Amino acid sequence: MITPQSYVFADNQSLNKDEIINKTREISQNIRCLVCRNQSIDESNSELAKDLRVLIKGKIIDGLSNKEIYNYLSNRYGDYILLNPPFKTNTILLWLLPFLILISGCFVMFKFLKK
Amino acid sequence: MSYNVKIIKMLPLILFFSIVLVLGLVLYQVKYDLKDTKELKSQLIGKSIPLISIPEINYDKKINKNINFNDFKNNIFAVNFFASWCAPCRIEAPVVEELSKFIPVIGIAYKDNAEDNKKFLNDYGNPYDKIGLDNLGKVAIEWGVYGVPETFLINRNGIIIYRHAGPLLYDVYKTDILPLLE
Amino acid sequence: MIPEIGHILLIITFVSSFIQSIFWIITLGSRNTVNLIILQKFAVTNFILISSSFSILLYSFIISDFSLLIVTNNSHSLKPLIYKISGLWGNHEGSLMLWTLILTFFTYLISRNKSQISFKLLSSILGVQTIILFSFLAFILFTSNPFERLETPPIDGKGLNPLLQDPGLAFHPPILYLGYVGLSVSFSFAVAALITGEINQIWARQIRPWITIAWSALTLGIALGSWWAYYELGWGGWWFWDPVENASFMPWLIATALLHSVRLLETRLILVSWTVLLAILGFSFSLLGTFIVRSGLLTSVHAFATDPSRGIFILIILTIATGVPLILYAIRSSDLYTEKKIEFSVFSKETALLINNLFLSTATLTILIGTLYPLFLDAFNGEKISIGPAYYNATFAPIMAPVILIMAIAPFLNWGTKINNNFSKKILFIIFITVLGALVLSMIKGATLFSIVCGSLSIWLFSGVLINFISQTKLNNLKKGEFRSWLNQLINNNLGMHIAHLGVAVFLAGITGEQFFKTEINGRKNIGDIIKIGDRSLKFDDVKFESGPNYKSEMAIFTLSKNNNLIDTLKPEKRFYPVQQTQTTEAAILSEFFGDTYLVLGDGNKEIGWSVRLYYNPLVSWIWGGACLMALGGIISIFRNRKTKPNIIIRNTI
Repeated sequence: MITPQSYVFADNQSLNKDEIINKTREISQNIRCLVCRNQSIDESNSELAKDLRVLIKGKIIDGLSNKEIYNYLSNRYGDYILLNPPFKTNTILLWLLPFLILISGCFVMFKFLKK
Repeated sequence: MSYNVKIIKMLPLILFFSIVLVLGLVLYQVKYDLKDTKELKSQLIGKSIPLISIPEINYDKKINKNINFNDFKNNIFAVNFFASWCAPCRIEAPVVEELSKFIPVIGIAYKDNAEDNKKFLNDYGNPYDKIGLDNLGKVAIEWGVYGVPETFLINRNGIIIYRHAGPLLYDVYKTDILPLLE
Repeated sequence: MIPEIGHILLIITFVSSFIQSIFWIITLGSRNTVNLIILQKFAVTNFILISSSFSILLYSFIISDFSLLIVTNNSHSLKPLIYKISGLWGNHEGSLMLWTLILTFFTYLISRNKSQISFKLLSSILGVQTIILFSFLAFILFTSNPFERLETPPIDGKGLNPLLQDPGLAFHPPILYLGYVGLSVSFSFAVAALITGEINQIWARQIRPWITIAWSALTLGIALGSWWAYYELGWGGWWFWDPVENASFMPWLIATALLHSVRLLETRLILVSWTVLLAILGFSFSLLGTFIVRSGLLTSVHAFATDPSRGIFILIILTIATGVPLILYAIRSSDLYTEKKIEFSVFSKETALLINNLFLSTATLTILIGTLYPLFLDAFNGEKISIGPAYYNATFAPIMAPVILIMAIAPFLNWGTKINNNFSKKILFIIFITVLGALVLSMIKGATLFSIVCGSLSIWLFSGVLINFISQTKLNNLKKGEFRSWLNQLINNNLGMHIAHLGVAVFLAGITGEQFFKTEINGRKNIGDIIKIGDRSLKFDDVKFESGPNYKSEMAIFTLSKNNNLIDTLKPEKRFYPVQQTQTTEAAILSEFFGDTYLVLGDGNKEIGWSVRLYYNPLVSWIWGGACLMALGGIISIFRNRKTKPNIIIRNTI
């Protein structure tokens, strides 16, 4: 209902049944089951997880891209539902720190080696 | 140069204490209930009602139609997701009843069948102005609901201003909802 | 009456460990060797007291004494004996008892050390161990008393969580604790070195077996936990980057780094203060792991029953146990030992080991960030995010890849400046094999870029380890003769290291197969249906309802065959445990060398059929096989005798 009508039948012919299932699972693996403990909806048998899988499958058939589906879900449940945290201002440190540590570590090591 | 070396030797200590400090802070908040770490904030607050249509259950007349939110325009109203199979919904029933004395309440029966639902309303009272049915859980997803019961407050402009997840207990009603109604 | 004796024994040990700690601190500067003898006697008595107390608790579990709260909550008279015993450590209070038991045992072992280690260092090590014992006994007695009685004992216990009623999980905690507590020993070595100012090659030689024991135990413990998750949780996964898993993985990574840095210290006397830091952090991460699991701040599938006040206690222990040594480190580590300038080329063992340490510690910090970031973000602005496998695949994996690259070639390199003669020849050979392997991999159906990279790393390491092993054993011209002397020569030629590195290669091969080439079939099947998996077929024969000792089971019977020849019968189950009112799924797994057939039974009935999930996981058992090889390599390397005598001893006493 939210999606404009033009999207609805845009792409559904181009995917076959297996591709739809694979894509659904790929997305489901990155969606947290909110009523479980640390599981993705792909692994969970809870009602909400089942509903969300059906919903995602429907959105894929409607021709939405992965990004649009992730956005759709995070607009309703927040970023908490995404197991792959998006790169945003509040996650800059999360994504960059490991590599910053590595670079500064390399720097310190080079100094050490020179000595 | 020797000063620099000292800073490096202090680094583990500084990092360690900052981590422990935050852990302690979080633990303190959890222990004294300063913060509810379990509840998720609703993403819909400040947004208008989702545009999904909800079929209305009508036990008196057999008319198939959807709930029309325009009927409540210019009014504060509440939307309450519930189900006959949900135990916490029984607990909150008297509080929802109380709420319905002030503002209209729309109930949305989540994954419920009409017969059980009717029995539930007979047993625990029917505070609802209208009851919608969400058989497939699609409405719930559209509203960002992750479990029943959940209660939303909508203002005069059709904007969601409040959401409570879990049973609506009397103290939540008193501290959170009543001030919003005034 | 008997449990009260156990409780009193704990209190006695608690009080005496306090007195012992004071005794150690008072006698710190003394040169009298009698003090060490007293501390050694203390170590023996502590071990005897704690093991008696532990035995009493064990006895209560064996006879199912439901007047004890812990037995009521975690045992049941119908339970098989082995699970009555493992029920002891399957909960918070009992696991702490096991923890202290291992701690006193290890302390007792150190106290019997009769080697060149100086008496001052040894008494400080024993002193630090005693303080650790004291703080954990305080934790047990004040927040988690295992001997708590019930006023009216129930007729029967509440039973152990059926998910935990399993051989894999019965032995997972004890082995893991061997690792955690083993790290407490290397921690004490480091703190003692900071206090006494004595750090040298003897120190390195003495600490190494402890690190190796801890590392091997952690490897086995983690592998066992992951194996349990694989066959018990029933969705075929084996590692979930769950906070609790991370909690045990971080100490493992630190221990791995430590194992390598201590090698540098031992042979070249460099990285002294870094090694001390790692030894401190290894134990800190163990404590942090304990905090994560028991405070309940990061909920997870495996967590124990949680309680914030316990969290606060562990946090206090963590703060003191890490804070004080880190303060000591900041003040003392610079004058521990002034490292001599040593010369080594870029292509030397030194460089390789340095890079190893850099990447391993960065990897540890990455996991720490991933584990704590959601908590911190929530604390600062209330925003909630989730961090799943995708994050670690994007950060942890690329940081670890260079470690694997270097692991294959580092053993070829020499110490110092001398470059190995045949170095480039051997490297070219390994590259040749790897390219060949990558080509073969890319021809497999379903191969992606990541699968080829991961598989090639495994081949790279395989060939590196094998070529190195062959050339080293040839180089030293093993004398043929008695088996034992032959074996000893092999062990002294780094057999342990070769096996451990081979284990990593096997592990990587397993990951490649499981992550990138697994197949899955989902569907609703009824009796008589046949499912095709490659050239095999799986026939749904029957569904039976049976009763186990403490559960009811719905069991499906499938036969797996190839060209009408029966391979095996698979019996996936759904079990219902009436005492707990819980249902578990028991996957049926046919584990073969080249892959597992993994079958899960879902809901259903005769009319509509049953929902069935079937996986074929290629090479998945190599994951645990590889881990076992790593642990085996570790254990072998403990027996390596080092003939080289220490040549430098430095003393900077307080």
